[in-house]
Amino acid sequence: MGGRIASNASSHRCRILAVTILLFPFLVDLVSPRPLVSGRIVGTVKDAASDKSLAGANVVLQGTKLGTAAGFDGSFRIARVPPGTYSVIATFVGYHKQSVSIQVLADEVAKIDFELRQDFFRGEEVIVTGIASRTSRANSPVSVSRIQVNDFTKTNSYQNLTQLVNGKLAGVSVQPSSGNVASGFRFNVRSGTGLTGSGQPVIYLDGARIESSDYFGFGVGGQGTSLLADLNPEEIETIEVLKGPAAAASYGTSGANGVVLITTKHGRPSEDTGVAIDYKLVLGVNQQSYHYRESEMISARAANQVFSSGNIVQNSLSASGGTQLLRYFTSFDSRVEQGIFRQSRMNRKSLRANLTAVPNKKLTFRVNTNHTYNRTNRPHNDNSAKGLLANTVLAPQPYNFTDSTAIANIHSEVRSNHFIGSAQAQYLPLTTLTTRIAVGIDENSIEHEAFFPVEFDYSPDARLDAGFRSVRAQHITLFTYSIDAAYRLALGSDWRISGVVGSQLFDRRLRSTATEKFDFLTSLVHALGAGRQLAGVSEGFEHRREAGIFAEAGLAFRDQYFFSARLRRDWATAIGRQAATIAYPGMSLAVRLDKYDWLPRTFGLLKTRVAYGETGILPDLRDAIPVLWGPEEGGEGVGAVISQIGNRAIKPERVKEIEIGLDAEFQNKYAIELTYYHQKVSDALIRFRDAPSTGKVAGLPPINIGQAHGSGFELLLHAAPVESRKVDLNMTLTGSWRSNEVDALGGAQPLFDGNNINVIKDGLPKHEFYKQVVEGALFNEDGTYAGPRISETRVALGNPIPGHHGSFALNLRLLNNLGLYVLTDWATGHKVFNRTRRFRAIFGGDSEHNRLGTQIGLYQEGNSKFVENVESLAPGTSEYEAAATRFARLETSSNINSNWIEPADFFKLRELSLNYRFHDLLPKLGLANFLKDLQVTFSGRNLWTISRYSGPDPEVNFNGSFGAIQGQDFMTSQHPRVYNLAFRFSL
Amino acid sequence: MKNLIMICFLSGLIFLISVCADFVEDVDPLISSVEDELLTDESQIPFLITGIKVRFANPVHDNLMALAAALSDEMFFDTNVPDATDPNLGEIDKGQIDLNNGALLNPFRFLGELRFVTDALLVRIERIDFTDAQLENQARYVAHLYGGITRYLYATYFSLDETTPGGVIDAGPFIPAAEMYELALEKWQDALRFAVTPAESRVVSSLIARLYLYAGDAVQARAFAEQGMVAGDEPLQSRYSTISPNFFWENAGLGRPQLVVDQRFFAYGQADSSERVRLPLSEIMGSDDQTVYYRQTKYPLPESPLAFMTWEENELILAELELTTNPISALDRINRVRASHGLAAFVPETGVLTLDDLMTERDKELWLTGARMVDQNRFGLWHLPEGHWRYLPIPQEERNANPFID
Repeated sequence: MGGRIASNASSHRCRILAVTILLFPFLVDLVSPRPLVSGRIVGTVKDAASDKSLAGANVVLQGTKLGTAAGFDGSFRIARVPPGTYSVIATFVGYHKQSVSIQVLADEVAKIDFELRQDFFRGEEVIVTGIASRTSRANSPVSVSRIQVNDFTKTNSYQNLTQLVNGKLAGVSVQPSSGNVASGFRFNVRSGTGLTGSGQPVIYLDGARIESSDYFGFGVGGQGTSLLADLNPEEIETIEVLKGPAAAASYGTSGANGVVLITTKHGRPSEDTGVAIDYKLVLGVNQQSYHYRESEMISARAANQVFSSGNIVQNSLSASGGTQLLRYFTSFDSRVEQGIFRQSRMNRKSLRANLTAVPNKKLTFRVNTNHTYNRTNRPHNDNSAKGLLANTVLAPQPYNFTDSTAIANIHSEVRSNHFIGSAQAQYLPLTTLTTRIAVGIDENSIEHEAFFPVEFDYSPDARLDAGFRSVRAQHITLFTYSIDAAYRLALGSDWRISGVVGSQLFDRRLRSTATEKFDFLTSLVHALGAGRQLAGVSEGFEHRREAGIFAEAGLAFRDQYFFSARLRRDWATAIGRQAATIAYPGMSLAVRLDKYDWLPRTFGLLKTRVAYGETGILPDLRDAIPVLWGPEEGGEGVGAVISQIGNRAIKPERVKEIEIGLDAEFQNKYAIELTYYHQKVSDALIRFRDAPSTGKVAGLPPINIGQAHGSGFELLLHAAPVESRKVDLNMTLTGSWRSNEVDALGGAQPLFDGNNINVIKDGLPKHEFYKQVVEGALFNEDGTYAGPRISETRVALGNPIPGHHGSFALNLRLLNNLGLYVLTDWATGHKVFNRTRRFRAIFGGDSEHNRLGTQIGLYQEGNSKFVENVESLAPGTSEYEAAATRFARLETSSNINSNWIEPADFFKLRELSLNYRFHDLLPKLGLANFLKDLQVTFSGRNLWTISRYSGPDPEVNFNGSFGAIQGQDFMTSQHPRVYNLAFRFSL
Repeated sequence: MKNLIMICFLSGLIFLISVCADFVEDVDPLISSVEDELLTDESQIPFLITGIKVRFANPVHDNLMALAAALSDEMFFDTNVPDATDPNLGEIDKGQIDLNNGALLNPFRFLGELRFVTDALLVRIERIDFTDAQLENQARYVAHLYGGITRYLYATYFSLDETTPGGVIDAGPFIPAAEMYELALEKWQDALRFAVTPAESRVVSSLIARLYLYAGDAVQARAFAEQGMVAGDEPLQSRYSTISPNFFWENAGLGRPQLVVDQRFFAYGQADSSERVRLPLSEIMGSDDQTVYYRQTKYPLPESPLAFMTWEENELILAELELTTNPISALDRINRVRASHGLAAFVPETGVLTLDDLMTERDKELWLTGARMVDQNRFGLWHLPEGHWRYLPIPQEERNANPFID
C-alpha cells in the first residue's frame, strides 16, 4: 500500500514536471522585455566554398544579449535591436567564426550575409582543458577528443553511450560486454596503465560527477545493467574526453584513467518563432548478426532458434529557444526496444529541462535537470545453466539443463529511477574575473525483481524449482560541489595571464538491500510474503567523501606561446582515517608554429604541444582498515567472520603522464592530430594475496608496491577533398596504438582473475592471458593417443584489450540533400578466451572435437561424443598423428584453457546511413513557413564483421565490464545487427 | 551588491578549502562490519564463537567432505547428469587435479582462516578480564576444539603431492600428516581441560580416538574411544540454514546434482531394502534419457546438519580396534549401530566378522562424512591408477605465496 502511494506521488510529480516543461516556452515568451525604438538585422549564413545554407548557425551581437540561430535556409533575423553600431558574429560548429561591423538605425533593416570557411581542425572550438579552464582547440596544450553529438543523432539513432562513442574517438575505444540491451561497457582510454580499480574514466554530466558502474543484482549469469544506459544520446550536445593525467591533472584523484565530460543541449535565442521544436521518430529492428553453423556445433539449429527480431520504437520531442534573458531546452524521449532475445527489453522514458538565465551581463544561472525511468529485462545467459545460450550451444541435445518453457518464464526486471541535475551560478565582478559556484546531484534508485515461477520445472535446482523470488534495491546519491574563480588579464599587447583557483567536494552514499525467498505454492501470488523459506537477506551501506583544492596559472605570449602550470591537493575518506592528503602537479606548453612568418601560408594551423601531469587512483573505501569483521548467518545463528583485511598505511596509486603532440591544418582541406604519450605508475595498489594458510584470505590487502608503464600513439586525420554546392566529401581516420607492462609487483605473486587465466604479472601487459600451452600430443607405445603434451610453465598468450584500434568515417553529400555516412572500425592485437567452445567440447556439442575423438578411437560407440559414419584412423599413421595433435588442442582440462584463447582481431562495418533532407522541397510544397526541416534516414549498425575469432562476436566479456576477468566469451550474447528508419521534423 | 557577492564567494571558497580534511572524515559509520579493536570485550565473545562455528560449517566442513566424497569412490561427476556443469568437480572425481582447481580454493582458504581465528581467539581471551568464568571456559573450549579440527583436516585431507598427506600453517614449511596430527592432539588435549560438560569431554575423546586410529596408534585410539561418545550422545555436527545451505544439498544432492553417488549405494538398498533408511537416494534421469543416476538424500534439505563425530563412529572405531582381539565384541558394536537405524543384526557369512565386513559397514554408516577417502587410503582400496591424487592437493595459491613449498 505504501509503495502504491509513493508511486502515485512520484507519478503526480512527474506529471507536474511534464506540464511545466511543456508550458515553459510560452512562459518565457511572456516575460521577455520589449524595446521601444529599434531596428532589425537580417541576412544569411552560408558555407563559403559550397554556398550551402548553414541552418542553426549562431548569430550574436557582441556585447549584447541579442542574437539568434539561422533557419533551415540559412537566413536569420534579429529584431528589436536598439540603434547603434554593432559587431555581429556568426559561428557554426566546424567553421571559423566571422565578425562583421554594422550600423543599425531606428525602424530600418540592416543586412549581412556571412560566408563561413570550414574549420577542419575545429581549432576555434572551445574545449575543456581543466576543471575551470577552457581554451580554443587551436591553442590547447593537450589532446582532447570531442564528439559533436548532434552531428550523429541528427540523423542516426543510438541506444546508448556505447553505440554513440564507438569508433569516433582517437585514443579511446569502447568495449561493450554483450549484445544485451542496456549492457555494460568498458572505456579503454590510452594505455590503461593504472593497476588499481576498474581502469575507468571519471564521468561528469553538465558538471555533476555521475556513477558509471554496472548494476548486477540477482545474477542472470554475467551481465549487469549499466547505469549509463539511462543516458539518452538525443539530449547530449558534446562529449569530451581528457585522456590522461597530462590533461586531467586538475581533476586529481580518480582522473588517472581520463575524464569524460558530457554536456547536454541548451537553448539558443530564437527571435523568429520563439521556439524551435524537433520531433524524431525512429522505427528499427534488432536482428541476430551471427548464425551458428552445424559444422561448428551439433545444436546449431536450436541455437539459432532462440534469437528473434526485436522492434525499436523511439519518439523524441524537444523544444528549445528563449531570449537573451532566458533560454531553455526541454525534451521528452521514449525508447522501447526489444533485443534479440525475447527477455531482453528496454523501456526508457527521459525528461529533460535545461534552463539558462542571464539577468545581466555579469550574472548567469544554469539549471540542468533530467529524470529517466528505465525498465530493462535481462535474459539469463553467460555463466548460467538457465541461459538460452547455455542450453543451446553446449550439448548436442538442446535444453540439456533447463526446459525451454521454464527459461521463457524466468522474470528479471530492473527499474531505474534516475535523476541527474546540476545548478550553476556564474558571476563576473570584473571583466577579467569569473567566479563560479555549482552543485550537482546524481541520484539513482534501482528496484530489481527476479522470479522463477513454481509452475515451471527448474529441477534439479531444488530452490528455484520450488518457486524463487529475489527483490533488491539500490540507492546511490552522489553530490558534487564546486567553487572556483578564474581571472584573465592582458599585460600590454603581447602578454596574457590567466589563473584559476577552486575547490571540489564529492559526497557519495550507497545503500542496498536484498531479500530472497523460495518455496512458493503458486506464482499467482508471488510477493515475498508468499515464499515460505528465506534464501537470503542482506543490507549494505557505504559513505565516502572526497575533497580537493586546485590552482592553475597560464601565460600566453602573442597568442603563439602558451604555458600553464597546475597543482591539485586531494583528501578522501578512502585514503585513511587521518585524512591523508596527496598532491598532483601538472604543466604544459603549446607553440603555434603557424604564427611564424617563415611557415608557408598553406598551414592554417601548425602547433606543437607538450604536457605533463599526475593524478591518482583511490583505494577502496575500507582498504585502510586493518581488520574488519562482518556478520555471517549459518545454522548456528549469526556470528562474526573476518570480512576484510586492509592496510593502515595505504595511499593512492600515482599515475604520471607526459604527452607530446603535433596539430596541423593545411590547404584548408586537411587536418592532422598526432599524439605520443608515456605513462608511468608508481605506488600501484597491489592486492597482496597472502598464503591461505596464514588465514588472511578475506579480501586481498593492498600494498603500494606496484609499478607499471605504458605508452602509445594517437592519430586523427581529417580530409575534405571535395567540397562544392552539389557534392561534399569528408573523411576521418583515427588510429590508436597502445601498450603497457607491469614492471614490478613488489614480490607479490601474480594476480589472476577468478578463472585463473587473465593475469597481472611483472614483465607482462595488464590482463594478459597467461597459461600453460599444449605443445602437441603424447602417444603410447602402440601409437595410440595418450593425451596432450603440456608446457611446463605458463606463457603469455596475448591480451584481451586490443593493442591497436582504428576507425574510418566517410561523409558524402550528394545533390545538396542526400547524405551517406559510413563508419568502419577495427582492432588488432586482440585475443578472446572462447570458454563457450571449451564447454561445448566438454558437453559433447563440438563437432570437430567429437569427430577427431572418434577418428583417434577415443570415442567409441556408446559414448555420447561418438560420431557415426566417421572412420577411425590407424594408430601410427601420419593421419592419426595429425588428428591426435589437433585433438590435443581441443582438450578441455582447465590447466590448458590456453587451447581456447583465439585471435580476435576484427573489422566491422559499424554504421552506415543514408539520409535525405527535404531542404529544397519544403519551400516548393509551401511547407517552409512552419516546417524548418524534414529529414529521413535509413541506417544500419553492425552490418558486417570480419574476424578470425571462431565465436559469434569478438566484442564480449561474460563477466561485465569492470572486473579482473577480461576478454572471456562464455555463452555471451552477440551484438545485434540494427536497422533504423528515422524521420526528423523541425518546426 | 557586487561587494556582497564577492565577499560571499570568497568566504565560500575559503570555507571549502579549509574544511576539506574535516569533510572527508565526517562520514556515517559502517553498518555491516566492525573494526577488530571493537571486539575486545567479553560481551562480543558469543558473536565470535558463533562465527567460528558458522565458518567451520560453511565452506570448510561441507565443502571438504563433499570433495573427499568426489575424490573417493563414493560420488562422481558426469556431464550427462542434468545441471552437472562444473569441470572442477570432474577433475577431483578423476583424481587428475590441477593445482588451480577452483573447487579447492574456498575450503582451503577458509580452513586457513578458521585456523587463524581460532588461534586469535585465544590471544583475544587473554586480553579480556572475564566476569563470566563459564563463558571464558566455553571460549577456550571452542578455540581449542576447532583449532584442533583445522589441523586434523589438513593432515587428513590435504597433501603436498599425490600421496604425501599433510598441511601447512602460517605460510611455513610443509607439515607431514603425522606431525600435523600431533598439533591437533595438543589442541584437543587442551580442549579436554576446558570442556564444560561430560558430553563435551566425550566428543573430544572420540575425536582423539579417531585421530590415533588414522595415525595408526591402536593403543591410544582404544584408550580414548573407550572414553568417547556413547549411545544417545548428540553428534558434533555442523548446522546449516536455507541462507547458508549444506554443500551436499546445494551441489551434490537435491539442490543441484553436480555430484551423484556411486551405483553400489543403490545396490546396497536393493540387496536389503531396510538399508535405504541410512542410504536414502533419489533417482535422476541422465540427459541422454537412458542412464539413471542417484542423488544422495542423506542431506535432503538446505539446513540438513552434517556430522563431524558421532557415537556410532566411535563404536565403529572400537569395533575396528577389537576386530582381531575380540571379534564378537566388534560385531556387537556394529549391530548396536545398525539397531539404532532399525536394521537387523549383521550375520557374517563366515560366522566371524572380517575386515571386509567392517569396511562395508563403515562404507554405509559413515557414508558422505569424509571417512571413505581415509579408509581407501588406509586399507589400500584406492580406486584410481598410480599417479592420481589420493588426497586433495594444497592449491597453487598457497604454493605461490609460501616460500617453503613448490
